[in-house]
Amino acid sequence: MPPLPSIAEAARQIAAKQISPVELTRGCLDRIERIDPSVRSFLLVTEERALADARAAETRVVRNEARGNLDGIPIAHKDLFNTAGIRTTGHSRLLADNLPTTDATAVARLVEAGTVMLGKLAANEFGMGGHAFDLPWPQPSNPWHLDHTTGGSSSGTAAAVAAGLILGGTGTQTNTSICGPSALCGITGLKPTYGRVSRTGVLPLAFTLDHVGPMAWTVEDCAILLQAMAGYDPFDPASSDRPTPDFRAELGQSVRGLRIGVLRHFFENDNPASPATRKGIDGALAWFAAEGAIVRDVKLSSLEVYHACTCVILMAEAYAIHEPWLTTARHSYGEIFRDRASLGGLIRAADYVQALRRRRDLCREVATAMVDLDVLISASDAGEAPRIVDLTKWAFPGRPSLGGWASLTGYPALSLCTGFGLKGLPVAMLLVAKPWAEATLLRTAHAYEQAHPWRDSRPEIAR
Amino acid sequence: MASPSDQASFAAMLAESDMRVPQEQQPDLLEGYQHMLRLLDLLGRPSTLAAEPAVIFTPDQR
Repeated sequence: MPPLPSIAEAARQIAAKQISPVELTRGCLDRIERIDPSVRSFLLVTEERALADARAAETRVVRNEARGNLDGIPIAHKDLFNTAGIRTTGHSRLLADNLPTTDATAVARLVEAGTVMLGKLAANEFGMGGHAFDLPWPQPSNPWHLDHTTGGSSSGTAAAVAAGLILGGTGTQTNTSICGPSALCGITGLKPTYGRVSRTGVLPLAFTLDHVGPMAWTVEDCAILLQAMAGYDPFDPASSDRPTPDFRAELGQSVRGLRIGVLRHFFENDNPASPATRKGIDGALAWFAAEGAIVRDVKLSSLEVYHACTCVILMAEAYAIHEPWLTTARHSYGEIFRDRASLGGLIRAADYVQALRRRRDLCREVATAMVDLDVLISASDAGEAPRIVDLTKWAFPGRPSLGGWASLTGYPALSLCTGFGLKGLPVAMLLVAKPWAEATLLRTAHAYEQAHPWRDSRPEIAR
Repeated sequence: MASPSDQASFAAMLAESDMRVPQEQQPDLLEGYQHMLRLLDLLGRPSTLAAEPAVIFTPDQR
């Protein structure tokens, strides 16, 4: 059972007619059947739909009418994305029978690009429910070590990519829900600039923090997926009408002359990261410097302030969305989401407005720090994935998250594997670029990825 | 252990909300509320209207 190819490699093989979309899709379905009972990344496998999509793509390929490098590529969607006629639950009992009539915009764009839909993926309940045990469906396990968490909330997407069940998938991030699980599962996750990818048809958590982005094994695969997902959508009030650039345009360029800032106090003092995480980042910084990048330390406000601002806005906005159910159907939520979201009902309006004001200050602080920088580097997460039995409900507001500041400020962020630590679990760094500079972010990450062997290692369960 | 003032503000905010949180769930929620109070302290006191007359939010201006 060989690991799946990357999206870029599969696209080359499909174009060269060395592999057919149907063959590729059957391979994924076979791997899901064999591996996913242990990983539990899928809430729903849409086998008939997948094979129909694959046959349609195959017909286009045979007729030389392929739609591009995503035609015939099997992917799956976090179950917060509406999928027409396919159950979309938010991983919650409250929406257990929810059948949307239309696709989310991001899903529709990926369908239009020719992707094959393998199914719907597990998530933390409504994007904030943690690793809960009281939901109708289980949370996934980390494919690198099944006793350890995937992180969340895009838990199923991270687990399915790492286990080689899908070539890529969709994620959402309000705090750290793309970059966090990507780090813990050793994959690549990209949270684009706020407004780059439409949220229409995606179950919201906090309107001013919600982002949609791609998750895949490699940097290039994230670029390919983002290319299809990005673009203006008049139905999302936050959507930007800026033109969508070619996100692969800078791939392959060196990092010589690139100006990199290091937020060392974030992962050394404010939320001390594990030795393996620090070693990975130090190794990356040494490599960037050796390749001709200009690397220097940068200091911002304490990570705790960014985290406080994110938490207050997130809780207040999540409560506004969920108040009708929190007041009439509390018992239908899992305990973790219910209690976390309830906190939002205990925040005064003046405190919410203060958090919005502080966000503007913090955005200005980051913008000022980045005036003469191209990329900021920090840790994606504090270390290797914790054991599932060690997770607690209030760790979320209690310990400052290392990636949430990118959601708060809207800056594009990418989590990239930098090696392996305790028990062979992956560790990662977080790269952040200026707004709308995803191409620079991808270039930087791609250069590092190409020079290091981390993409050659898959979890034992996926080999 | 929550201070009497934290417990009092928790009870007041809870009463103002319509959530009707069962008694047995309240100690856990109080623990979360204390985390939230600590985060609010980090953000400082709300500014006056004169100091910050508008909260503008667009993707390009945030």
